[in-house]
Order: sequence, then structure tokens, then C-alpha cells
Amino acid sequence: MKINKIFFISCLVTCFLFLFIASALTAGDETADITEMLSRLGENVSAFRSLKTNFVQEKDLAIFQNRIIMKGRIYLQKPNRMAWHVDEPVKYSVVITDKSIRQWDEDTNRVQEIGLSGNPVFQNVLNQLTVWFSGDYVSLLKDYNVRILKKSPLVFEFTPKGNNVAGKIIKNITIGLREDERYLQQIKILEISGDSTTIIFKDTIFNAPINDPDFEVKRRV
Amino acid sequence: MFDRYASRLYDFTARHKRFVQLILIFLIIISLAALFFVKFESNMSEILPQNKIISRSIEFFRDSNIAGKVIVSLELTSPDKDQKDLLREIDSLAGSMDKSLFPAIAVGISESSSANAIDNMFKNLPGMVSESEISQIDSWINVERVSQKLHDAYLQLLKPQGVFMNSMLRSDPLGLRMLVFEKLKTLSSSTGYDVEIKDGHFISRDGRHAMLIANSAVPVTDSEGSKKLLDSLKNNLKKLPEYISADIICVHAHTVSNEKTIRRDINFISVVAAVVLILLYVFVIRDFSAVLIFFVPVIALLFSIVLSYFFLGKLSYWVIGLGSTVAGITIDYGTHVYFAARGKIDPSTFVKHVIKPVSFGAFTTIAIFIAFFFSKIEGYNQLAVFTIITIILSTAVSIFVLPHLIVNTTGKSHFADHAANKLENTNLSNGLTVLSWLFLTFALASFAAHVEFERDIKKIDGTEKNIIQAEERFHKTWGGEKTHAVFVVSSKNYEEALEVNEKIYSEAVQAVGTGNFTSIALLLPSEKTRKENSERWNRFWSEDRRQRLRKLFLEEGRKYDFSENAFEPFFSNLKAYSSKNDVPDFNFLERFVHKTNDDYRLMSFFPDTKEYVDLLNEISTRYPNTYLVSETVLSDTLSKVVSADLKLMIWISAVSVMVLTYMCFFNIRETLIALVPPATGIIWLMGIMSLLGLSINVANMIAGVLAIGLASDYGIFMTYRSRFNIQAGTVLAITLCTVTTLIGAGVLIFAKHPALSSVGVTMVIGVGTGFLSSIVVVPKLCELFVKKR
Repeated sequence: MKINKIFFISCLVTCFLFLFIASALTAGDETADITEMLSRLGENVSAFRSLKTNFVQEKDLAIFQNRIIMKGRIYLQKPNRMAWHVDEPVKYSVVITDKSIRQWDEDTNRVQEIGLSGNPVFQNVLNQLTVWFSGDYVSLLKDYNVRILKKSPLVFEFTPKGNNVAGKIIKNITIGLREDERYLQQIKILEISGDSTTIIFKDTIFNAPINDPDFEVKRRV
Repeated sequence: MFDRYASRLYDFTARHKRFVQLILIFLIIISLAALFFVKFESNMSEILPQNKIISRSIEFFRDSNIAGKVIVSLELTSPDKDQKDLLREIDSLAGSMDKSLFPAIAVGISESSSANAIDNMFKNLPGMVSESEISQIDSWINVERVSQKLHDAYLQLLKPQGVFMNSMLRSDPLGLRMLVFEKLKTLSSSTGYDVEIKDGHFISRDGRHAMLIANSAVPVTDSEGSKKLLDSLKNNLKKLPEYISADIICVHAHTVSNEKTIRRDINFISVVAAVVLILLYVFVIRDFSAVLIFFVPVIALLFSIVLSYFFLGKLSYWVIGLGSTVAGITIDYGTHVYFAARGKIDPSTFVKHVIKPVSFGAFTTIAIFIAFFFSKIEGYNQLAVFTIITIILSTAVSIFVLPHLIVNTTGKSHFADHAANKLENTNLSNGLTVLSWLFLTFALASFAAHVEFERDIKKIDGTEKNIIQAEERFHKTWGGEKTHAVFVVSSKNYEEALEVNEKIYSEAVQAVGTGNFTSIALLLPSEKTRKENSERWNRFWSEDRRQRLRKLFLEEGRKYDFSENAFEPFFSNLKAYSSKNDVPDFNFLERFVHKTNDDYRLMSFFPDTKEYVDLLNEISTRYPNTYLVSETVLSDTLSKVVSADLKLMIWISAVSVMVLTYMCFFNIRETLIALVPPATGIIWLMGIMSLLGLSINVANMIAGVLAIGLASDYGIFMTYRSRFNIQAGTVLAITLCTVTTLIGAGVLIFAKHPALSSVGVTMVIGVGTGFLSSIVVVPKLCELFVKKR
């Protein structure tokens, strides 16, 4: 009886060790896989000089009585220009470069320009957005833990690491890719408070000629 | 009496010359061995006066982290590389630096730590908000303002950055955080640097430079430690790829460079002066034993270094740097004795004849250096000890050892004898030369009054060009060339320091304006003010006012579809605010609050102009334990203290020289004539300096006094020569002495270190003019007024 008990415990310990080693190895493989996958995706997604896309943004925020649905267009031009034009529910435009952010809205009809130097927090926010939209996902690995939620079409979940200031607000960010893995299908940002923002990209065109007026905040006035 | 005792001592050393020589050789060996244990220092503070303001400024820079910082600016030199490469390299450099030399290294501000710092400050908001700010908040609680704020919040939430602003807008819809940001903004202006933060790194505006700031474990005054620190850092920089260049900016570089320049100058001066002097003696005098004259000051310098170190416990390179000049003086005594003894079958009569003028020449020079003991500059005190020992030993060796070593050269060389006879019998002094001298002296006296004192210590800083160029490049990229003056509040008690700092802030902004005085007082008020502010805050946020605001949010929020509890976090926070105001732990506070071993120092910054310094100095005088640290104050104080020092030293020197010259002659007329060369030296020196646009500084001031001493020797020798009709080769000896001094000092002119170079210029002018007057003025005056004996 006693021998059986010892044998049983030994088996348990061996199984536990086997499982531990196997899971550690699998985890190592998974990390390498993810890095490789993100790198490949980065190459795919970032293989454009310019980009035009329509989008629908849904905001489920506790601050609002109802879900807010916005429609508009995003223009990206490498290395560092992004325009964000919204037509509904209010008309406004934001143009972001590495030096400044220019904004306009229909209600005030004023153009406001904010320099990014000396505004590190704001700068960081915009840097993060640029990374999400431009596809340099490998650079996010130092600030986020990544896991694959779905392989086809690919869906990743990015969770801020402990030292990442974004962790104070964001619980996780889910990125869904198109079938051809050339660009994003949608981004969902889930906040710690439970609020969420989802951006769905539609009719994305790569390397289409983008005119300077597309980067003017007051072009539609 | 002096002559009698000196003669007896001379006869005694003549009888026991072998024994005296053996003792000398023994002492040389001991001194050479002891030289290995002497440690030299190159501390700039030793050539600064001991004054409360100056010492406090130096101590402030030493204790604060400001002076001890080491900054490395990395630049991307290849257009093919981008900011990622730059940031990777600066991170790698920071990781590879020796932590025992650089205990704290920063390449930027961590976003999480600055977010925490702002959060901490925001928690202390009630204690920070003043009465006027409460009135401001009150003016925001109305329909128009709330509606405007909610409209802004609505638009912000819809914009791309809205994701990150949701929680902030819910907890602060009125924008109270802006009150903290405004205070923070005023603090950042005090650095004067143009820095951007990208990816948590310090980046220049052009995006091509990154900056690393390290605290150093080595004091800036420690030259050996500084060298080790820089070597270690340079080794780390060697590992950088070729597309990155680096500039090191730190006070340590100045310390090492100054020492390197002085060392190089000393080596150059010593070699050149020695070679020229030996050649001069060998080719002019053509007597191998004349080389012994050269060994007199060398032996005296050797003994003096060891003895001075023994008495003082330390010795500055600066003092040794003047060694060649001192050697130039002490070689004079050997030269006079040599010319008195050479070519004579029994030299004792001739040597005994020059003992008195040589000794009194030495006494007057010693008297001048005694005046240096009254100086408040520690380096001058060291120089006095060092020089007095050198002069005494040199005089003793010249009189009592040298004559017994000179080989009888009768019939061997005639060149020096011919030169001596020619010079003795050529009269360059006549009525016309005296009148010309009088005219020029009066003319130069009018210019002498306008010679200026150099207030900027940097002008005598011998730092190498590459370091200055690196600093220029740094300022061009990062700004910060304009230094700020610092208003320091010091106290053992932190709360007490905060209280005084607050009072000073309110007075200072009235005096110089809010934009010109950057203080931590707005973010860190005293406990009393914090308490008052918190109580006012709590009274302000009464239940009625909260309800009114809640109602406004609800009514105006409907327009933008805000929910009923949209701004509930704001109202919850009003209750949760802390009234404590602990020392927050964030990086930028280090510039304003510093804890030393003894006390807390709160620092405020303002533009370093005379107008502001005067206004703020007036405030500082009303508060004990407060003071200003500014280049303007430092320069003014230095100028005042050194000028007073100079005046005192000149008076003491002048009186000593006059008294000792009188003791040599015991005759008023002869004394006045003997004083002509030193008087000429000082008047002409200051007059010519004024004409050439040169200024007096802490270094050449010594040379000026030294020149007076030498010129007084020439006056004594030439007057003594006219008194007795003895052919002791005085004119040739004086000429050779002047030439040797001019060689020693002339070589200094080519020194790289501006302090040593200015010493050379001063010596050449002072000694040269003193010599000229002793040759062209003194003989005629003696002829007219001195009775021959």
C-alpha cells in the first residue's frame, strides 16, 4: 500500500514535470511564433507608401448615454503624415505630423495647432496611434504582451505590460486583419473601466495618389 | 654688523667646504627620494580668494548635482540611419557605463514616472490652489463655461486621441489639471534647454541628437578621479558605431584639461628655459663651472618643493608652474656671486663685497612674498612659503657653497671679462636719458590709473579648444548657453525652508516679475499655506456648489448625449483629495530641491543680470540662510576682494621694500635712488598694460609684485656699485640676470594656459623696464647725489 502510494506520487510528480517542461517549451515556441508572425505582418501591412481608407468608429463609453457611431476617412502618408476626417455625427478634421497636430471642427470653425515638443504625453498617444495604423507591430512587443486569438483571419490581442503608461487606461487592444493580411480589418480598444472603442476599416486603397488638400484640416469649408 | 657676521660665516664654510658639499649632496639625494611622495593638486579654488560669497558659491556648485553632472550628446552622422538607431545606441551606452563612477544615468524621462508624478501632484491640488485660483474656478461654474467645456470634451472624445482622454475628461471636466500644468510649465523654462521627449528619450529638436545625463561619483575638483572617469567614458564611447559621434560636456573635462595644459606648459617651459640658460652661460661666459649657477636654483627648487609640501601638507601645480619664474629670480644671486669670484686668485674679498647687496636683494624679494601671506587667496599663501624657502636656500647656496666650486679661470677666458669691463665702463646714463625717463614715467602714470581688473575667471581657464568646441556644438543643438542665477534658501528643516522660499517668491515676483523668477514655491507651498489652501478648497466645494455644478453638467451634458453619471468620478475625486504635500519623487524636482548632508536647499532661478541680482540681493539680505549664486555676483565679489587684496599687498610690499632698502644703505638719498627701478617697473607695467588693452587678473597680479622685487634688487646693486669703486662685474651680472629672467618669463608667454601666459607678459614688461631704469637712470642719479666711498 505504502509502495503504491509512493509510486503514485512519483507518477504525479513526473507528469507534472513533463507538463511544466512541455508548456514552457510551447510558450517559448509561441513567443517566437508571434514575433515572427508580427514581423511578417509588419512587412505586409507596412508595404505601402500611402493609404486611403473609410472607417466606422463605434464608441461604447459610460460617459455617453448611447453608443456613438462615427464615419469618416483616414489618409496615411509615410513616413509621418496622417489625416483623420470625420463627417458624422459632427464634421471635424485632425492632421497629425511628427511636429504638430492641426485640428478643425465645424462648430467652432477654428483651426487649432498644437506643437508636440514639450508635450510628451500627447506625443506618446499619437506615436501609439501611428504604430497601430502603420503596422510596425514588432516594436510594440517591448510595451505589450501579445497573444493570438484567432488564426484565420488573424486576430491579435495586445495587453499593456506593467511599466507601460498605457496600462493605466487600456486593458487590451484587439487587432483583426483582413483575409489577405495586407491591412487591418478592425481595432478594438477595451479600457479598464469597461468602455470600448472599435474602428472598422472599409474600402482601403493602397498607394493611391494623395493630394495635399487631403492633409488640409479646412479643405471642406 | 651684518657684514661682520656674514664674513665669519663665509670663512667658516670656506674652511669646511668639503663637509658642506657632502651635506649638500646628502640632502639632494634625500630630497629626490622624497619627491616621489609629493602629491600635486590642480584645484582652481586655490587661486580664488577665501571669501564667504566665493566659498559659498564654490561649495554650492560642489555639493549640488549641477556641477557634478556628466552629459553626453550623441549625434547621428549618417543620413541612412534613423532615430531608432540613435536611441538603441544611447540605451546601450547607458547600460555599459561603469555604475561605480556613474551611479545614476538618465537617457530620458520615463512616461510612467512622469505620469505618476503628475498624478501625485494632482492629488495635492487642494493644498496648491491659491485664493485667486479658487476665484478663477468659481468663475467657471456657469452655464456658458460648462457648456463650452462639455462641447470641447465631446469633440476630444471623438478625435483619435479621445481613447486616451476618456477617463481624464470624466474625472476633470472643468480642466483643473491645467492649474497644475501651468505651474509645471513655468518650472521647465528655468532649464534653458531645448529638449523634446520621444519614446521616453531626450531628443533634440532636429531629431538627430540624443542626450544622456549621468550623476558622477567623482567630485569635479578631484583631478585624478576626473581623469579616471573620463577615460572610462571614452572607452565606452569607442564602442559606438561609426555613424554616431559623441560630445562629452562636464566640469571634469575642464579639470583634466587645465591640469594637462599646465603640465604640458611646465614641461615645455622647463626644457626651453633650461636649454637657453645653459647655452647662454656656456657661450657667453665660456666657463664650464658657470653651469653651476644654473644648479643653484634647481637645488633650491628641489629642497623647496619637499619642504613646502612638508609644511603645507599640499602643493598646487599652479605654484610649481611659477617655479621657472622663481628660478629666474634666484639664479640672480648665483650670477652676482659668480662674477664677483671668477678670475680672482683670492675671491673672498670680492664675494664678501657682494654678500650685502645679494642678501638685501633677497630680503626685499622675501619681504614682497611675505606680503602674500596677507592675501586671502590660498594659492598665494602657498606661493609665499614656496618662494621664500627657494630664495633663502638659493641665496645661502650662492654665497656659501658656489664660490668654493668655481674653478679659477684666470687666463683662460677673456670674453666675459671684456664684456664686464666694457659694460662697467660704458655709461648709458646721462641727463637726456634721465629726462626721457621722467617724461615717459609721467606719461605712463596717467595710463596706469586706467588698467582694469579681469572679472571673468573663464578668461584664465586653460581648457583645451576641443572641449570648448564640444560645448559650443552642444549649446547650438540643445540651447542653454545663458546661465541662470540661483536664489538659494537653505535650512535644516524642510518645512522652514518651504516657508522662507514662499515668502521670497512673493517678494521676488513683485521685484522682477513672474516670468523672470522660477520657483518651486507654487508647487510646494509651506505647511501653513497648504493648510489654508486646503481649508479654503473644502469650504469652496460646499454641498450647494457641488449640487449646482452637478445640475449644470446634467443639463448641458444632454446636448452632447452625456450620461447622468458621466462626471461622477470628478465629484468622487473632490472628496478624495489629499491635503498632505510630501516631497514628490520626480526627476525634475531635483533641480529645485536638494538635500545635502546638513540641510535642505531650495533653489529658484532668474536671469543673471546685474539689475535682477541687485534687486534680489536686497531681498536676500532680509532673510538669513538665503544667498545668491550667480556669475555676476561671483565676478563682482572676486573683483572687489582681489582689488582690496592687491592694494594691501602693494602697500605691504612697498613699505617692506623701502624699509629694507633703507636698512641696506642707512641713507635717504641712496634709498630713494635704489627705489627708482621698482617704482619704474610698477608704473610702466601698469601703463603699458593699459595701452595694450591687457588687464590684471589673479595670476599676473603675482608676477607684477614679483617684478617689483626684482627691480628693487637691481636698484640696490646699481646704487651699491656707485657707492664703492669695486669692479665686481655688477652691470654684466645684472644684465645676465635680466636676460635669464626674461628668458624664464618670456617662455611663459608661449604657454598654452592663459594664466601662465599673462604671467609671462607681466614679468617681461615689469622686469625689462626695471632693468632699463637701473642702467640708464640710476648711475646718473648716483653721480649727482651719491658721495663715493
